[in-house]
Amino acid sequence: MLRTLRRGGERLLALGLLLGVPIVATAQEVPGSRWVSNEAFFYAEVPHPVSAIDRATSDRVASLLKAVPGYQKALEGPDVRKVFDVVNLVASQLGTTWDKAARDLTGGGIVVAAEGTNAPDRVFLVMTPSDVAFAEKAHAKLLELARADATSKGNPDPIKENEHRGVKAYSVGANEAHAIVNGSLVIANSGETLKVVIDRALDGKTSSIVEDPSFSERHKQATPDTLAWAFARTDRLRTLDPKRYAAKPDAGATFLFGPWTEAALKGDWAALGLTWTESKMAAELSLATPKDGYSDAMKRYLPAKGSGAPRPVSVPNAIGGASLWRDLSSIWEVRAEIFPPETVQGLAQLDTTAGTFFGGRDFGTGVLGALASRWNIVIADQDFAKMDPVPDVKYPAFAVILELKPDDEEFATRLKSAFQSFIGLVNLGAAQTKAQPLMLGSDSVDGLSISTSRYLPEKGKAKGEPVNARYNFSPSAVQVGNYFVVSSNLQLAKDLVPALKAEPGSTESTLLAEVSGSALASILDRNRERLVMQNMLEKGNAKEQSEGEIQLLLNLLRYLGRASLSAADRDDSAIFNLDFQLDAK
Amino acid sequence: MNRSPLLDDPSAAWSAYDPSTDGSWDLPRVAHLHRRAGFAAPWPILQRDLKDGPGPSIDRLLNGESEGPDGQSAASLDATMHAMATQFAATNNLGRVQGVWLYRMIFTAHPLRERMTLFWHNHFATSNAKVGNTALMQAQNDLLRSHALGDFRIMLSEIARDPAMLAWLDCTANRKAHPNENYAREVMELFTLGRGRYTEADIQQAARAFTGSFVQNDRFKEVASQHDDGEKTIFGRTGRFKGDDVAAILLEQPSCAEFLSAKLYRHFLNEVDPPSPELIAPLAKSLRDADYDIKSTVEMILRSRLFHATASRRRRIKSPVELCVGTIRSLEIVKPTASIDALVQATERMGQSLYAPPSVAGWEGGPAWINTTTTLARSNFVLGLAGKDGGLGNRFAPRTLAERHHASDPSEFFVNLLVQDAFDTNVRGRMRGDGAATLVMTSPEYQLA
Repeated sequence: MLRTLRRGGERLLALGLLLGVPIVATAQEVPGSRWVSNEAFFYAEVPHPVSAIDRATSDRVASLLKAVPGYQKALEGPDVRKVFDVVNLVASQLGTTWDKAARDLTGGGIVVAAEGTNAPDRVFLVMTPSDVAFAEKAHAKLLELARADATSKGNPDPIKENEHRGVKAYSVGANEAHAIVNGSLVIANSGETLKVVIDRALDGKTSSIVEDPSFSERHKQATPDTLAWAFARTDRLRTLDPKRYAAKPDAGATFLFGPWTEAALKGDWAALGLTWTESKMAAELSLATPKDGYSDAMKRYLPAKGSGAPRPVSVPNAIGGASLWRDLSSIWEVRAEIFPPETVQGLAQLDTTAGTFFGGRDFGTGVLGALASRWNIVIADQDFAKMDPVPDVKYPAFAVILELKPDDEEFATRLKSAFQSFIGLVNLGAAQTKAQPLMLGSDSVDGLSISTSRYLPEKGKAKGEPVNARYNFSPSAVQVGNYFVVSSNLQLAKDLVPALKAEPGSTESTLLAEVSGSALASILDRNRERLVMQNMLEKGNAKEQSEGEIQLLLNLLRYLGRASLSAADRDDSAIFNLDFQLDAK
Repeated sequence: MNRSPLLDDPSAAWSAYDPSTDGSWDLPRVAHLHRRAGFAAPWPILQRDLKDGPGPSIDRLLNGESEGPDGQSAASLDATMHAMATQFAATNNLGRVQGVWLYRMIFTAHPLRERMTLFWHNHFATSNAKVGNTALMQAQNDLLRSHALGDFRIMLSEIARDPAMLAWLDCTANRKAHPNENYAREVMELFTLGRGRYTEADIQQAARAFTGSFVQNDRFKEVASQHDDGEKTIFGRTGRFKGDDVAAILLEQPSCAEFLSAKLYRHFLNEVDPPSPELIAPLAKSLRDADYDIKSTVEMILRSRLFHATASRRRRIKSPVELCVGTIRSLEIVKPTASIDALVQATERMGQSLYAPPSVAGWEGGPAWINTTTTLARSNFVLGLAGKDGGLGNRFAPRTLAERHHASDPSEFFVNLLVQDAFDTNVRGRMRGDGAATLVMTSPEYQLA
């Protein structure tokens, strides 16, 4: 019995965690959505709560959650156990189980809304059961238990009852009122709000949000697989909290996310859709572009149609990568406009010193101006079996691919020379710390010469002695047509030559990134011992505790499978997609 | 506080403590033993040793126990610590290497060995600030631990070949044309004899004996062609001496055993009352007679009447490491323990950064541990253990610990666990309520060992 209660409790908590995330939608209209006024500043719907419950209580997710130390601790806490006991008691008195009850009570969908001009005056939730009779029975049972509890403690009746236009309303406090309206349970933040919703339900005359064009246009984003969908009127939120929206993003955010921060602060709406199936977990966020378009400075961040970020470059043992469209030379011209003065001052220093690495070129026009706008980062696993010595901590290799403008052939030579100067600087630092130096060399692939470097092996090292992590790196650089590659490892530089000769091509996106969770997990697994020990020192855990936490991380990465992120800029909005191709095993 | 009359009676001072005549074996005595010979003990260990008596309790401290405070076997912890030290030594991340040692001190089944390793770290003080190589620092630490309660002769001989020590004293290339006097000077002044017990000529001659010592690729190497093979005269003895010969000559000097014994006295017994030469003489004789076996001299101290005399209590100020590790061990914060990274920072703020003593003379210790900044840091450490926002992880729940040991009066429990007889009835009466443990640990008395 106790075991059954515990198992039920775990699944209930999993559901609770799920519902704790920003909610939200479907292509179909969810009952209650028409009761939301078109003046709402926030709307969210869960069209298929049963799917959400199924996902959150699946054995795979339950076992993952179970391994989270905080989760297990929470389950064992007296407060949580008390809640489980009450829920299970109520369910058993109704002749059902808590998870069947949850499905029956929410099966028709959930809608949450917030309305108000100067403050969030009206907040309400509409929950539509798939079994109305059961919902009424459950509601009556809860009232009965609450009253019995009050009586046993000598307290007055905690439930206040009212009636509005023939609908019976209940309240357990000043900030709560609820009623069953047209077969749906409505829970509101006040009796007044409840009355307004009852009127809308009975009259059907409200200017509903679902008829608002900006809402319905966005709502098309929802598909039958959409688990939840939310819509926020950011123009109204700006009125409610003008201070927050007047804040200027910092230099780092401006550099990385330029126009998207402008869209978040000045756009009129935002929409978020969440999907979670057996094989996929995804989120799509849309931000409206400002009504009058982006500022001139921010327009410099946007690619022309069809010539966005380059396609990801495919290499053997790839773990992931990112590609970006960014015209740095053009952004450099407006740096004083978009960055705070202290950042501009820092950039002035960069302007003075960085050019010296490139034969005294002007940094803005001669260095950034020689670079095209397509950037790529590639991360790949290394073949440690071929390494000598093999480092104790094993890192993946990574490479940055710069695209060069075709009319400046001399710049690639400058880049090669800068690469060699950089190796020289590293060696100067190594000499000071008596570390092993990098030996410059060259290699070739497909007739292309690769500048490479390798750390000198340590003399007289006995077997089993620690090998420094520096042996993960053999920094290399190669020019492939209009591309210049700087790689942490020679093999990756070699692998990139044929991949770049095949010309990656462009996408419609401004940013693309992807990473394989299982490949990442393999790398972490290879370094498991180090990670466990790091965890022991960081958290003060015993070895077994640390091993458990690292194993959980690996399981989670494997479950999340392949992750990809994209950002695309359209005329009316910026759209961000985050996808996890889940590992169903 | 009263000065012990035993300080003026060496023969009685070093005779063995007998509970039937020298004061009963009670909780304050058990706790005093663990504060001085370990890093303070948790309640179950105090109770066990109270029951078992001084003999078995001191034996366990000298030889180590089979299990650490978290129940892990000593062998298993040693294996884990070896793997951890190997993993992090090569990273050149000082914080990590400091953390490995603190972790070991918290979980060790042999606290006296760790305490003595810390003692030798301060004796052969070497700082990573100059060495700049945590692998060498870790290797030196392993060397000190392996001889911590062993043979000082071997330790002295090996420290002369220790790459971290040689790097610290600029002796990585000691050529016969330019003998480096640094090591020769420090080995006499700081490691064996003490200031004023040698001449400049002894240093110059000894420096010649140490020529030919090199550190190449982080390893010690003797380069015969760079060794000055000529005759040297050191402390009146003449010969074609090498480094090991110098060590042997130094150990023969009567002042060597006296110097080491006085340091052990200060470390284990008393840093308030300077010992008379007469008081140190029997200890030094014991060290010489035992052929510089450190354990036997430490044992003599721990079993002595002077050690167990009431007046010997709280004659030392806890070093930051003693304070932190001792607090964690006595409060049983081991499953999990506090964040070690946060602990590294806490000890540093209190003025003790492991592997980074301020000079060749090590940490000054004593009253130098206490100033306005470090007092605040000590209080913050205690508050951090119980606080919600501290990096130390909110690991201490006073009520739970008191309940675990069936304490009917939690305030009384924490006084007995942490300071015993340091508080009189009046002060004990003021340590009430949920914050009693914190009040005790932030008291001046708790800062004393």
